[in-house]
Amino acid sequence: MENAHPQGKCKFSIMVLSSLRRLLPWLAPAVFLGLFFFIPLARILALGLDFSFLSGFTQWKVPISSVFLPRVFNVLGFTFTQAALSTLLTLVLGLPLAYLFARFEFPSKAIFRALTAIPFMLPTVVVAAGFTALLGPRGWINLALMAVLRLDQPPVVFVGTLTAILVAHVFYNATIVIRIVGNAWAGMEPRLQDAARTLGASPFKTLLHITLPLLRPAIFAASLLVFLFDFTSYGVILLLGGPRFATLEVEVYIQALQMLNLPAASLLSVVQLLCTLGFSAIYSRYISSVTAVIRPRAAWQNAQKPRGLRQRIVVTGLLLVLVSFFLLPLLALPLRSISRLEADRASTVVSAPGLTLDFYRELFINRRDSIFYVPPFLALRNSLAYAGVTVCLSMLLGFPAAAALARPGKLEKWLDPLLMLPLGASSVTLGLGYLLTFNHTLLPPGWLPESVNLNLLTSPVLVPLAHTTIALPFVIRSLQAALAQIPERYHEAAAVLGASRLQIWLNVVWPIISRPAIAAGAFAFTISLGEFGAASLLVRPDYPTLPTAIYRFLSQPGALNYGQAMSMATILMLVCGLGILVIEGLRLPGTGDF
Amino acid sequence: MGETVILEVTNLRKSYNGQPLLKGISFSISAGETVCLLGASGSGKSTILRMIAGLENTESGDICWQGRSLAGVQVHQRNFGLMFQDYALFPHLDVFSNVAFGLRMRAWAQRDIELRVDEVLRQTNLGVFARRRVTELSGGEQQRVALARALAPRPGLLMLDEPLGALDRALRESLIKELRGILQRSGVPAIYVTHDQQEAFAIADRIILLHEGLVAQTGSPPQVFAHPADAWVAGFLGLGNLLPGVVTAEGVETASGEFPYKTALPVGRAVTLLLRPQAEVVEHGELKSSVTGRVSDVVFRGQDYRVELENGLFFILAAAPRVGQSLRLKILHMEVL
Repeated sequence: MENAHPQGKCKFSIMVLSSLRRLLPWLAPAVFLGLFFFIPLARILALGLDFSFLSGFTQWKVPISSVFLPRVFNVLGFTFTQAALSTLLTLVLGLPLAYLFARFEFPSKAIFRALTAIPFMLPTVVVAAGFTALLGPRGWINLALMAVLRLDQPPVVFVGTLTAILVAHVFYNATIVIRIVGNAWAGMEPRLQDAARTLGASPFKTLLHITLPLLRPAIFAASLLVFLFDFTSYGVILLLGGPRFATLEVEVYIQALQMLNLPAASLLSVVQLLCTLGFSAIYSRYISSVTAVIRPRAAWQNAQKPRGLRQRIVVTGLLLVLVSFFLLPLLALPLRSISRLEADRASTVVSAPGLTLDFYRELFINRRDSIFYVPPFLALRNSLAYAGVTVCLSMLLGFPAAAALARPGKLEKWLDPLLMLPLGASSVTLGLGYLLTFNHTLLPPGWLPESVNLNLLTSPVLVPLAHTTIALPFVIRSLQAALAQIPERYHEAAAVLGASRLQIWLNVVWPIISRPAIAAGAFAFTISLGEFGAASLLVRPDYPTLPTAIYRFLSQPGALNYGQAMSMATILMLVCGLGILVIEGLRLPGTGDF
Repeated sequence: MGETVILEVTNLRKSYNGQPLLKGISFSISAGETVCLLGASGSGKSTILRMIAGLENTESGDICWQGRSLAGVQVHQRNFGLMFQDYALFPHLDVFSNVAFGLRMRAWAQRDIELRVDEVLRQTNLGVFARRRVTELSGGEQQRVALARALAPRPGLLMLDEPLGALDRALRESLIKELRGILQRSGVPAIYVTHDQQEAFAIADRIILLHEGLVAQTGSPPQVFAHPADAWVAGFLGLGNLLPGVVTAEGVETASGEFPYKTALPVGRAVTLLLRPQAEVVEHGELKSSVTGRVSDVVFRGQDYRVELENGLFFILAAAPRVGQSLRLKILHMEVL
């Protein structure tokens, strides 16, 4: 080495070059996240914590008034209460189902298990639309009861109640309990229970002294995770709870868009962020201390066919509960979208109940002839376009970062948590940050000529940028896992055999990672398509996305609006379902778990 | 050895996936005796233990404890101890609490629990381990904790399912002595399941050999060794060379020649001849009761040599022949099975 480069100057420039080469893959993702995550976040912190000189909004102050503060505490209290209640109910449903999947073998078990996992991956608007189709005032159950009992008013009041919020949360998150606790239960050595029984413990005492203590870490981890998801719930509260209920997230939206009080929204965002970070920290600490217990080393053949009448009754009963709870809302939605069951009150024509494609035909018509009301079909086109941009951007930014992370050095270990930070911020927070950042106050006045328009809020690009920020950590993680499974020796072997860098990439790397890479792309696509939080703050009325259009139609009266919401939600559900199929079929086993 | 029968197993049957595993097993255990269930792996030994414990239901047949049928008696009400092959120690409890578990389930007073656990831990040389986590113990220590846990509630019957199966050979030989001592001192009747005949001979008062879902033979180790009931038993225990043959007027005619043997069996009956491996090299003389062959393998065993011939027969000789040497061997012991 000394002989090859005798001059120190040359050596130094090589050192600089090599460290530059290490930094190069980080350049694009770092600049992107800096612009579209950290600056917006800093804006929220500055405004919410009243560092007015940093926030750029010198004219605004956080309203620490006798009216606002109690409201914050009320909202915080409700957010905790509903999350705690939801978590409890999720355990009540999830634990017996975890037991079912861990201990029994029955036909189509994989399908039943997949059914419980679908809601978790569906957009909130679809889930909300599903429950509306089943239990809303125009839903199947109410229409059936009205027809049978000859009532004028829908008898079941579900939408707009706390019950609706709790039920939807259980629907969403039961799979977490089923997966985490069920895996721990299935991995538990069955002889431990046998041993307890031979030592004189009754079945109940065995559950109490052996099974539950051994499951405690898994139950606790699952509960924390469910609580975290319920705590940050947004779409479900907004769509199913109605105006009476506000969690922190919903209150951010109300303060920002309805009250136009950005400082208040920012303060709420900061509170929300601190809570989320706190819970996440507790969760990761707990998980790392108990991984050995939660992830069993050996898989035991624990599941058996139900034996005896009592076991058969238990299994059948649990399966009935599972199917009616998880399948009915998913079926009610598409069926409702093609059924004409009542006369549209706006029209005088009473048509007979039956199947119809009217709601789908209406998607292409702009009924209101207003510039703000584009045909709903355009919402689908916008959503697909945004999702396409999100996939391209997140893959382009994610690949170099993932490649570097797959062979981590000092730099990567340091940068990794920063890249994952967007996971901790909610999409509503992100949307708020964009509202604060990308307006004309981005730079102090006078820095740029008047003719340059920096107000991105008037352009439709912010939504896909927000979606990319949300999807990027997931994409990086999936690609990183895929790339990490290619040992360095493969590159060396291919190079020795005469392959160039490009040839190695095309012939060795890509064939190995193509499936998980496509899965990562599909994941970004599905996230963007169903994303509601950021979009609800950022979309312009003339550029709606599918979720915001569904929200708009659901919150307006009339059978036609309702039917259009149903048909759009059905389309969204089908496209997302397709995405889920691609992801599940192609992803690496083990990645994408909680 | 006690004479009163305390456990009576009659005509036990069980099948798995339509394949019969147990086809009518019957045996009994007397007070204070240690019985070995010996059989190849997959012969259903462990299943019998699980059925006696109540962890597995019987298809037909009956299990009686002190004259009363156990059908309908729940696992936790039987008061039997079962030591599992992989020990199944509770990972969330320490050594003391594992051993105390059965006593707590029986709602013993705390003072009595402490006394009994201390006693059992001393018995099994585990005194210093009381507060250790079971996951920190070595295989041999875990094995003793499992034994202590099974013994602590003074079970009416102790069942051990391949208790030394997971340990290496050296440890096994030292533990087997210890185990025999503990079983004798506690006086509890025990059923010991193993596939290893050395273990069975070392520990059992009586051996029950299982083959193809049936009891092939029952008896004390010397009885079984001296008089194997059939060719399978002799083969499984490795008692010698088994030659198929036919009864003649003089003895038994086999592929390796005719062997003189007095038997009451009718001429022409197909039998198996067991040639015990003890043999002497003879130079000349009588051709009867001898085999010839070229040596294919010689293994030194410390006291003597195990010699294999090219025709597949093996013998134990005092002096080593050369490989390839032709030998004439006089058979010292043989039986017709």
